[in-house]
Amino acid sequence: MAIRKSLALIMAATIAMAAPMAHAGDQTVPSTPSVFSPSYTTVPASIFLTPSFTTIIGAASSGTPTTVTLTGGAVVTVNANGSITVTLPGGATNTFSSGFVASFFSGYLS
Amino acid sequence: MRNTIGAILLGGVAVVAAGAAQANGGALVETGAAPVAQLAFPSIFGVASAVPPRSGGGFVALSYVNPRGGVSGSDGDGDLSIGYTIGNPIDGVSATVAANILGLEPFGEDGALSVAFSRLVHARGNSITFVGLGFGDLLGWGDAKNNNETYTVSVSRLMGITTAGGREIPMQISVGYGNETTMSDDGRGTVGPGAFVGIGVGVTQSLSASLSATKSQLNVGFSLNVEQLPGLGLSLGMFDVTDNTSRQQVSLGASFSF
Repeated sequence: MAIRKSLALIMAATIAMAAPMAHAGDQTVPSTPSVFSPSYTTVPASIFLTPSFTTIIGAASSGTPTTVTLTGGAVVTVNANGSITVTLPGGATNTFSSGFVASFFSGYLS
Repeated sequence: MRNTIGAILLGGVAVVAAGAAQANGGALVETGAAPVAQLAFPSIFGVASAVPPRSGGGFVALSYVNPRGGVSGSDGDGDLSIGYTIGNPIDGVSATVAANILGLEPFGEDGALSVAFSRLVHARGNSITFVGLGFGDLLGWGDAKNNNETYTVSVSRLMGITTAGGREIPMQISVGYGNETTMSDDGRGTVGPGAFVGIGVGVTQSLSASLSATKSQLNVGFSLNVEQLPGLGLSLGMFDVTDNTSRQQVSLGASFSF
């Protein structure tokens, strides 16, 4: 936890340093190997690592009404009609008809 | 040329969608509640996406492209990106900051920072939508010190499309605009502003396929989640498939999220 907090502070400082910037017209032959770095591609898939993802997907696909409380305090309810309701800690709710989307959304709340 | 790219893009999407519809699997989820074969996250190769990584998570991504800069006759080269994400995009804004080493030989001599912000703007039914704002080539060093800062704005939607057979196919569509996203088609390698679009589809439990395009380039890519090593992702793609800008490149990528 201490390491994460330290990293967060470093990143926050980096963002502040990067804020002032200028803009530009065309440039030739960038030093980067490609215009869009392939590094953009696979990173968001890491959300699939969260335990809540497999739990929710399992319940949704089986059609079994289930309630899962995420570590962040959000509550995920698989309803009898197959829809999935996510209740945020503040009380706001989002209802999904897609197990994939509901699980991915919940991944940010774990 | 644009019509040609559009036709190829639509044809490719049809092929990818058909492949996804035929995909199957048989893994059991941890709950043991039922057999589930959730298809892979639909990554998009070649353009920016507003879908952010998980807050409090980091990543290391290594890529290799050949030839460097797409210039025929050049050797291959790659880049290394190390990043971290803070903030929650659902009730706030997430920020992903990365240090990018541009070119692997000599390693570390050139590089720059990038930062990308994302915010959820829609979450209902079978989709969620994010908007994103990214900046690149910040605080460059080495040769990258002379690069112009870049920006991209993007809107990305994740959807679960249910087939007639009841199978759910994850899909992502991303559209956006950037100040240095379009390679000139005169062969000079000049980059300028323009729009971009991409679509990705989960094809199997571990594989996704995507098509993307800028005003002048069509890109095709595949991403693979290595199930035996959670967090490891591999990608294979080709920039400028039609060689419209004389900057065609093959790309290999590996990323590790933690």
